[in-house]
Amino acid sequence: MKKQIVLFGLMTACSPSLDKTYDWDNEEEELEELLDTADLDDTGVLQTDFRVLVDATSREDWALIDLETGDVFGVEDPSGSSEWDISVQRFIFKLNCPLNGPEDVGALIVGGESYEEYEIPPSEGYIQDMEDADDDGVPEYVFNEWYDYDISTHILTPKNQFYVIRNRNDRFFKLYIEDYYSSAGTSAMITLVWSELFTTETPSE
Amino acid sequence: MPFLLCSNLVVAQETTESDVEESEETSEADPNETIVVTGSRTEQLVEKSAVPITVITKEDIEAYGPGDISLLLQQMSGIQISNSVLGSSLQIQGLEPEHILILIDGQRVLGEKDGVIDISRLSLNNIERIEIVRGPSSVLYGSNAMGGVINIITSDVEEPLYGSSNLLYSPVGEQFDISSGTKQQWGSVLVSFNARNQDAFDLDPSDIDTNGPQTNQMNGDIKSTFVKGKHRLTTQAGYLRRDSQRVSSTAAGAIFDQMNRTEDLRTQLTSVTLLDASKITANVQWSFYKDQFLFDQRNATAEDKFQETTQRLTSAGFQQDLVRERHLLTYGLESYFEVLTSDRLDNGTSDRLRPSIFIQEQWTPTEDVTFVVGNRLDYDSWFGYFNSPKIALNYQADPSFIVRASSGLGYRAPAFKEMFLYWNNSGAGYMVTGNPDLQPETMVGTNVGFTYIPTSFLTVNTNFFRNDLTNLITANIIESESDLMEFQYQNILAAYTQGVEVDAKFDVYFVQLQPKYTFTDAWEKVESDLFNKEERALVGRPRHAGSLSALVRNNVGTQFVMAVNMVGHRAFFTDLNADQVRDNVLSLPFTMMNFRIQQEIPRYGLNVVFGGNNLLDAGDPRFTPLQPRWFFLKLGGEFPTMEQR
Repeated sequence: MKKQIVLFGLMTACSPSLDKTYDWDNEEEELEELLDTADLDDTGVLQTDFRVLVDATSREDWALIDLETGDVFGVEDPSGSSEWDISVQRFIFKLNCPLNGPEDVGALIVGGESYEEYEIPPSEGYIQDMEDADDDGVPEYVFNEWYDYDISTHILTPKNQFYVIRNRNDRFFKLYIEDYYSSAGTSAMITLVWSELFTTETPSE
Repeated sequence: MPFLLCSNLVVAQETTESDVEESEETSEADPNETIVVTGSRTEQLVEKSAVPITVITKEDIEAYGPGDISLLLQQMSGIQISNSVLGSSLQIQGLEPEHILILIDGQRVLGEKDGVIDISRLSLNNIERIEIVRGPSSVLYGSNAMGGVINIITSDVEEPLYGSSNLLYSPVGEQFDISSGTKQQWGSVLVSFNARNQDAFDLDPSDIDTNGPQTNQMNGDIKSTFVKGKHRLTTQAGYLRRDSQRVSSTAAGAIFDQMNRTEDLRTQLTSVTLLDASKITANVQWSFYKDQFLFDQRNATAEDKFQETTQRLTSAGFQQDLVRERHLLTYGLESYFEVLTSDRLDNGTSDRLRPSIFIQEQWTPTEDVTFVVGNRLDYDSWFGYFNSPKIALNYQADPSFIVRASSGLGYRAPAFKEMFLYWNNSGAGYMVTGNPDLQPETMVGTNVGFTYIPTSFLTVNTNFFRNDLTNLITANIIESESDLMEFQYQNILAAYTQGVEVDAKFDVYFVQLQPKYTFTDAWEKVESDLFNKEERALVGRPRHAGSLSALVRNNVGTQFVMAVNMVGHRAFFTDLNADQVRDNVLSLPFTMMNFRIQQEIPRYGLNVVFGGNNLLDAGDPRFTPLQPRWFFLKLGGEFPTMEQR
């Protein structure tokens, strides 16, 4: 009996770990952080839309976004940083407002209007992320309900709406969430599209 | 044989032959006098059993094999086999796989995934018989046996020198097995090896997913028995390794190559001593199960995963069967110690100790009546004490009519994964979490039935059943703080299954027919806004299921077998109209049809089998992923030949 146990024990012990022997497809997904390079004119005015793929797959770290430059970055303590306007982790979006950071970023939701034709930002009506008010354990984020969820396929689909954001420097942007998934199907690889809005028709004047 | 039950034991005491040998001799002499061990934990004539038992004999396995146990049971057991990404699983009387205990020579089979033990990994070589006990059996086997027990009894060698080998070829896979052994004065040894592989299959060419995995499996077993006087010592060890690969995709477009390696190591030492009016059995068992699961995302690494799960189960038991006139008293002690380590567990590792004591009295006041009363007291280190009483009756009204009635309480302690799982499948968009507050499931099961033998060539069995479950554990959708749909294990209010099982065996000259039918009414009571119902059908249970197996043979070694298995509509729940409410969906009924043509060449100990499975191409990718129609050719040889024997 002992021999049998030893023999089979050896067989088990000799069995290689699948993790080590498997030929992983280690091809990293190409992350084109800036799909369309921002085109700033001589006065620093944005001439084209940003279309940015944000890697928000981490469950610990936040992806911070500077709407003026299109930079996506991370810092150790986002709540102490003035370098970002919005941040995202998985499917949660935050504004750099008193609940989450030192700035005063606000946003409003626009539904039923054309993103392309929307040009003049309103002067008021901007709201900010607030503490949990309905006791569901989740703060009242402005972006809380940006998606529809399909319980059969488990897919998140952005709602037909966009946001107007007043950023930390009081510049205005219109932004929509184009896709929650990358071309390889990775969730939380979010494509965001935004462009700057101006309170007058000729901002450079 | 005035006192049949006890006489089994007395007869056993008068010989040094093993119980299994005795069983074989008896079954060859008269099929109606097959001896079983599972229903009472001691040898018993099947016709004297007070609980419903189905026995699949070695002859059945040879006729309806080859393949694995799931295929065999689907063809001719009368119980339901379900196929899913978790593998092939069992349903008895509408109860889930986690309510059915699977044993190999009395040793628990490990490797439960979401309640399912994939029985397709259990091969058919060197099986003496399979005993299927319906109804609550926790009184003898404790947790998980609340719905029934499947006990796979392995073979012993009967010849001084024995060898056998089989080779199967089919366009979708190959199988090879070889066994060799010897039987001497001191005992016997049997060594066997089995290897098989099967291709993946795809039932929906419109997507990249495979609906059945590609599998490669090998297993080896050693069984030795040492006999001295009235003592018998049996040692067993077995190792199995199975690799399976499949491709899956998500609605978001992610494609995954999945690979799963499972390893199963079993060792067992059993000692049996026959005394004047009793039998003492002691055993020690150790089982090890390892599961490696790999999830490789194509063209990206964000969703790559590798997870490992190991399960160790050590058990020791003692049992004594005492004969006193018209009483057979069985009592014993048993203890299990289980350790589970998994990347999927919130706390990494968990263990539990489960000692128990059981006692059962079989009283035969007259030749025609047998009463059984028993109780088992389990202690679970997580959930405390649990009692499993049972009462049963076998009444032989006349030689052709036997009535059986039994009722008992069963329970199932929540599995570690149900308590502590943290399985985040972000690739597919859902997560499953455990619930440390779960309570054990309990069940009261009642079976009433009869066996009618109007002629020597016809036997009809009917069994009515009702099982009432409380605290049934199921994964329900809960409010999630994640972007994923979150399922959490919860005790739902209650569930019940009820119905009737009818089977018949017509065996005359060269023809054997076995029709079986089961009606199952299975409902659960839930409190969930998502379903907006207080009561709904239990998922995946067919109301109507039946099978017909036919065997025709001649006297020159030719045999033809046809097996038809029909499964009716089954209830499933999915959102059909994107209103965030799951709708009731009925899967289509399906019919599996298999055949075998076998030619024995007794002079050379050879046999050739040509067969086909799933002739009607049953199956669909969503609810019934079955391998499409396939044919095979099998060559087998055995030494010594029948003539030499």
